[in-house]
Amino acid sequence: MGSKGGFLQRFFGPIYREVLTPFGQTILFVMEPIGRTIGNIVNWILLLATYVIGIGIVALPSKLLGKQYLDLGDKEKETYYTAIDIRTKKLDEYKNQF
Amino acid sequence: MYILGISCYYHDSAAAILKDGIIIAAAEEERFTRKKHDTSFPLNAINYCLKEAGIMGKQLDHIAFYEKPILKFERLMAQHFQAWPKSFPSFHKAMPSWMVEKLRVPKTIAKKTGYKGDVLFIEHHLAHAASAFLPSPFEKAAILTVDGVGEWSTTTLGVGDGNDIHLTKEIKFPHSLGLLYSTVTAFLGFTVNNSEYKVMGLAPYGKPKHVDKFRKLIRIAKDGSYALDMSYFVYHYKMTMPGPKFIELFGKPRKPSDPMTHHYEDIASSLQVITEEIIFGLLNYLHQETKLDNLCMAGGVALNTVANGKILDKTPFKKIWIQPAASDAGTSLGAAIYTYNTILGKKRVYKQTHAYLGPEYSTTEIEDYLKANSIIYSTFKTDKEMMDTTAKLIAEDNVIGWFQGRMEWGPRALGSRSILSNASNPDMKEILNLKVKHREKFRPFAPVVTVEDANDWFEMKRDEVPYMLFIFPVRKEKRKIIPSVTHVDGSGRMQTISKEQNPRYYGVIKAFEKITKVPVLINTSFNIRGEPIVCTPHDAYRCMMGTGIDYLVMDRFLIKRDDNPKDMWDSEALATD
Ligand SMILES: [Fe+2]
Repeated sequence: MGSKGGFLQRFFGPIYREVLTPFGQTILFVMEPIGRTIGNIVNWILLLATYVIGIGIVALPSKLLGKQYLDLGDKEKETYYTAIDIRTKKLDEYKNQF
Repeated sequence: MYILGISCYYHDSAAAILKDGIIIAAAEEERFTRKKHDTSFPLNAINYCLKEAGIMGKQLDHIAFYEKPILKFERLMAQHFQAWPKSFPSFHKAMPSWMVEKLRVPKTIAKKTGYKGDVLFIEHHLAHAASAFLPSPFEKAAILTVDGVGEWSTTTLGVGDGNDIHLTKEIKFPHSLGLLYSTVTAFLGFTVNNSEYKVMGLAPYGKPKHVDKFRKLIRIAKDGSYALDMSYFVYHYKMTMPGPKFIELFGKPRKPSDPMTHHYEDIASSLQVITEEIIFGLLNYLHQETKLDNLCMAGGVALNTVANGKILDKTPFKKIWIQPAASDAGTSLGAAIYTYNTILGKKRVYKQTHAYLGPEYSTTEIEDYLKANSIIYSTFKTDKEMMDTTAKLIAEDNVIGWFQGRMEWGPRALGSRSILSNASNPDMKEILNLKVKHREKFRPFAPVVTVEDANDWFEMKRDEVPYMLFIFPVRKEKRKIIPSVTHVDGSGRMQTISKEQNPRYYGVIKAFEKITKVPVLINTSFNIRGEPIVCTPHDAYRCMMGTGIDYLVMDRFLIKRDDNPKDMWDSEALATD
């Protein structure tokens, strides 16, 4: 924008400062929230599609087959501990994010 | 060898740096950005750590991150698979940040710090466990970590032995004592991940009338393990926490603007009873399994100072050490020290004896600031003069902003960035609330006492409590002498201080004792409501001028509020919490 502004400024002189700049600012003032709203809507649609299709493709059959991804605490148990065995590993294994 | 630990993106972003196994600096990002519980990438805290070490990011030997992001993402996906199609609003809110930052940790670190090596990812509760055990004074200890949630774990039990940590049991999401506490925090009209301590402060005002109701939504097994009945909660798929069944059970949730009634106080009291029952159940089982006398704790629930104060009575453990930055900030320190001591197997050379790990400002820097801003001040010739004058001002019921040395690590002000005042004045709680803190009336102010006098004033179960992590009863005969720090149930969330830990802070209390025969002061955090504790001289001056703090004692400089322009700003107009 800076170099373009510089060129326009040189080319049009006072017209740039008094007419084009306020005009450009008004356009920006109006367009910016519109652009943001459009971006949000597109974002929302993409996320909805990902959610409905991407998550749904796993979640729907799981529901039909009765698969549980979380233990919802609906059953009484003797213990609610899960045994784990987290010990020191080799350095390279900590490079994993999983 | 330099190792940097980082925690970020959920709450309390922080960084800590080790030089040859010694923690030389650690700080929360919020102190620099002035945004409470800032979750953003802790670039300011990292830069501070690097500056303290005198190195650039590319000179670091290792960087350790406080969790395994893909494991956490897997848990998030499991929540959505389970709750589909009800969880779209939370999916919509969370997913962009996962794509933009949370799954791109190595790239972000490389770009922002210049570090070229591999990042090491330490499981979240392992980082908590390391922060509790490796800097502790113990060679061998049982370890308990309890928080909201890490990747999947919400509670882990294990043992620390020499350089090694072995975690043997966990309780997994969605069953979480931390999230139960947060659910009630939300129900009572307070902010989640911020105001849990208010619920704890409210509890003594109520009666535990609703304990049986809590038993409906939480199952506690004989071995101390627990599970929540998730039909009462919605936090596993919504942005809110209590579900319709919870509201049916406990009644209408309180709005922040609603008055506090006995009903809500009773709920807070009942929650505290259940919380303690669970913590002591977990600890008794841990002791049964490990047969060890020493205990280390971390995780947000380890900040439940009321429960902590009862551990030695209610469990067989004989000694306790809790990481002062017990919440997620402390995992940056945990990840770094775990890398040095455990992964690399280097000798444990660091024992954490204080929490003064943050930035400090030299006398010259402070004076330059005062001069550059035309602030009117006077200078003490000696430390003794500074301490004696401060004590005299406190004895005359002035409210003092106290800014000395390195800033504290962790959520508590411990005598570096503190507001000090007279605990013997029965009106001081109201004065502090009116002048500075504007807090809810039910919240107590905390005492600081010199370590050698602590037992005379408090029913202490320990030799020292330097991090305000334990609440003990104020001795009955002393309660009338220090009414402003005696809570409604006769307790005090105390800090002990020794000369070695902080000579100036200790010196002021001793000087105050000479005048009043009382070695106890009110110590509250140096901040306004809704803002983090002050970090820089400017933060401190701004805080004083925006509130009713009477004097600011910064290094050897005394600044009187009345000597300086009073129309700087109004802290209460900007308060958000
Ligand atoms: Fe945590």
